[in-house]
Amino acid sequence: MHELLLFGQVPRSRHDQVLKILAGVAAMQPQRVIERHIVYKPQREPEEPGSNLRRGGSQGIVQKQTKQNAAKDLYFTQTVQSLAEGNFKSEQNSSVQKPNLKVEGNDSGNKWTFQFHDVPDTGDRGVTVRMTSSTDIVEGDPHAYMVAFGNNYVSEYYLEGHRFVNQNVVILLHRILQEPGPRPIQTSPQKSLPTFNSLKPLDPSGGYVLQASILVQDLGKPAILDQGVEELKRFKDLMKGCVELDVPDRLLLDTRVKYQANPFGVQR
Amino acid sequence: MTDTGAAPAAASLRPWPTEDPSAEDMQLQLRRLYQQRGHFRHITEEGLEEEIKAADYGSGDVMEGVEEDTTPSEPTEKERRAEIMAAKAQMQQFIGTALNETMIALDFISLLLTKDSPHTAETTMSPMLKQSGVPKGSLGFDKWPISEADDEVKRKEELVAKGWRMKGLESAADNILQAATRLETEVRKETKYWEQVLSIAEKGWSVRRITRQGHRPTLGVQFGFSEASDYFKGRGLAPLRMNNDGAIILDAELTQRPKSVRVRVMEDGNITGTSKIASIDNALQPSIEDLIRRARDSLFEEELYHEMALETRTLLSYDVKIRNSVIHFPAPISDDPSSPGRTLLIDIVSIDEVQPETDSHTSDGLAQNVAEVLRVLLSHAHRERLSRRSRIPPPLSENRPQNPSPPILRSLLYYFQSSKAINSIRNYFLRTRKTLMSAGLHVSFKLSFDSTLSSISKIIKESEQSGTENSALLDQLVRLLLTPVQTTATLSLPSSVANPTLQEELNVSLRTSMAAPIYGTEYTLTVPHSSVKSLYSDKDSKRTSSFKSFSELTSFIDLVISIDLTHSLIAGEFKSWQRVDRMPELSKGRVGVDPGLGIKMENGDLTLSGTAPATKTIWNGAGGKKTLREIVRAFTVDG
Repeated sequence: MHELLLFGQVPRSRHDQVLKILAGVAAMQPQRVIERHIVYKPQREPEEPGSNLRRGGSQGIVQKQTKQNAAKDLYFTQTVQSLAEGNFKSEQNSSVQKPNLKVEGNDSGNKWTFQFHDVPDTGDRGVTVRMTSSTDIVEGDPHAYMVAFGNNYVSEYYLEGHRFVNQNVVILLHRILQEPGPRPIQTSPQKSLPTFNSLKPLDPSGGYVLQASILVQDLGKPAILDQGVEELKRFKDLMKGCVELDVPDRLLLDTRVKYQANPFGVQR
Repeated sequence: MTDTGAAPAAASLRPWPTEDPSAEDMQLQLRRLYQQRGHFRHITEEGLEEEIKAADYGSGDVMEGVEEDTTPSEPTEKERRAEIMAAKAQMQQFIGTALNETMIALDFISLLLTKDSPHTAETTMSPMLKQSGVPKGSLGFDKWPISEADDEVKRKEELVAKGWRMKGLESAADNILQAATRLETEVRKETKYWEQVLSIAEKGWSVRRITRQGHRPTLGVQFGFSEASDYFKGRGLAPLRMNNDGAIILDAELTQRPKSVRVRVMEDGNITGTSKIASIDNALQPSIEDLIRRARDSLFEEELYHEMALETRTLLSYDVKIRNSVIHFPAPISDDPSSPGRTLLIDIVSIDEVQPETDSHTSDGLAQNVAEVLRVLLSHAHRERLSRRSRIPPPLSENRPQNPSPPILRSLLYYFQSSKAINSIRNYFLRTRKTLMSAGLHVSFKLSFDSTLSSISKIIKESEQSGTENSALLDQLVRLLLTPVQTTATLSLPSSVANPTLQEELNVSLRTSMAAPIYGTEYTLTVPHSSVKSLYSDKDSKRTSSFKSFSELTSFIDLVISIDLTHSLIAGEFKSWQRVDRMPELSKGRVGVDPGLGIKMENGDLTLSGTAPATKTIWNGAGGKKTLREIVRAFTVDG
């Protein structure tokens, strides 16, 4: 599955106005979205870029020149939990709430999703195109699953905002929230959620990001892709003067784990 | 200087007087000057001054001039030179100007002359003029005498001017007055228009700008439903244009005759009930809000009918058909063939039409309820559409999502089908019970409905509290009512009543669904263990069987009851009888030779027939007959 994306910035002061405009554009009420993202990094270290791991001369045997295997990239992945404001610890009642980490029976309120985003494609179509994969986790402990797959917990953040759907365009007006203060070193996600009001936006000015996206099943069908790109551009034109939607630098959306020379090979 | 002092010609640097006959070309002049005086650097001011003096006073005055010359302080060489240079530059400038002006004058004259003698004039034209593209002969000249106007004419002219000015002022005043009146009417017009628009907006209608390709944007009122299907969505918008006196021009959409869906109940060819049709408020001059409301209602009804008409195409297999724009919708009360056939007739009529009086009003309530349900279902479909639209769309792919028409008649069909099945099974069991009672056999019958129906308010409250579903209460209610429910009917077997330890029951559960995989009603019959033994072999443990048709079900239940009566009840109480396998018959020895006894349950009648001696008794629910046990006892004793 591929995702066509455009991003725009909305200052905090204009958030309410833009929210109203979007409600008019999409002809629907905003849907509250609160997500908890937990970022994982593979345990294995990425290989040194450019090394072919076959140093030294060959023995003169004329081999069929096999394709040089480039160093395989490793990617950050994340699990996402959909939340509602009620899931957070309430201000007055600070008693320890039951840990929310496990997916419970039919509790559809706390569903987890495994998400992977590739680096956006090169090539300029006027929108960002990237491969994306999203798998719903129906039951079990997502953290244990991720660790068993050879991942390390890195950090977590919260996403707060509103979603609209305009035909095929999914519009997400959101901002990233974090727990304030220095992050304690830990190897697993927090067992209980903090209070919602204690979360501080990552952008200190409190600005919002407008993300417009269209999912495309298959890039192999140019007509379908063009249709998606057209629709997204039409939406961009529609929003002109309200929010300027643009394509960010593709490397800003890079999810690859960078190679760091680590001579001592110390495992993190 | 001395060699040129006697020269008679005097050079002047001023433009030559035009009347001077000796006017010559400046070029010639300069050349002559050069010839006379030599190079310009030899001409000095002193020399020229001397020369002028000599010309004025004659040669004798030379000494005087010399004396005078010595008196003023001699300027230094350098200053002198600068002075001369400045003078020279000025002179050259003058010469240039003069030359230019003459050339222009020459060109002008030449151009003027091109009208009369083009060839001659062309020789004197400068190349610049030739190239400039001014057409030849484009200038002309004439001569006329300048005459002094006399006083009379002057006075007249003055009068005319004054009159003209007065007239101008007068018309200006008129114009301003006219503009003022026009402005006033405009203001009145606009006020009236905006007052009306405001009153529409205040009533809660959404007024918005309509931009259409190639039209000026106008204001429009949206009265349609935002989730209506495309065609009706487009119609739900009427422009509010202004007419000459500021009133709103009523759009064709608003002035159409309002329509309404009408439901009639037909039983055996007679109309027995009609739904109420919204009465039109008989205002001769309905206000614009009334018209909008009327248009909205009418649009909703039209959409309802449109969607239903489309839906009939998929429901032909259920005998839903459309004839002469009337939807015929079968709604039988029960499966019993003796019950009257009932059909709902659904059509759309104009509200202001006079409806023919129907023969009877017995089913008015039903017709009205159906009409209300259809409307609820359409608005439910609208909201379902919104919630479907609000979900994250599936990724773009080649298989386009199809947009099926909302299930309105299908939902209604579900209700009638379900109620028909429940009615049928209830009627059947009641009748069977009555028959068995008349034969002296006491059985009990129970009908239990699905638990979701009884706890409907609880379920809704729970989903409201959990907060996951953000849909309206009505939608949840409709959704709950539309989910297929299971109804269970239970009849205790006659044999189990006699033997209370063996509580054996026939259990029929009904599931109705208008979608895959049932497409109708499914009856699942569960028979007790004792009957399984007599019906099938001892080893067979199959206890449930499904039926798609009601008659199949009843004939099977009849058989089960008959077998239960013979095999369990009679054979249990009267030991001399032996069971005939899988048949509701008993015999005292060989079948067909020795006295036999058969029980048959059919169409609600219980028949006991005996052979040798032949005897037959029928119970059909009417009282006053001997009980089954009495007859069997008598027969057993006789036999």
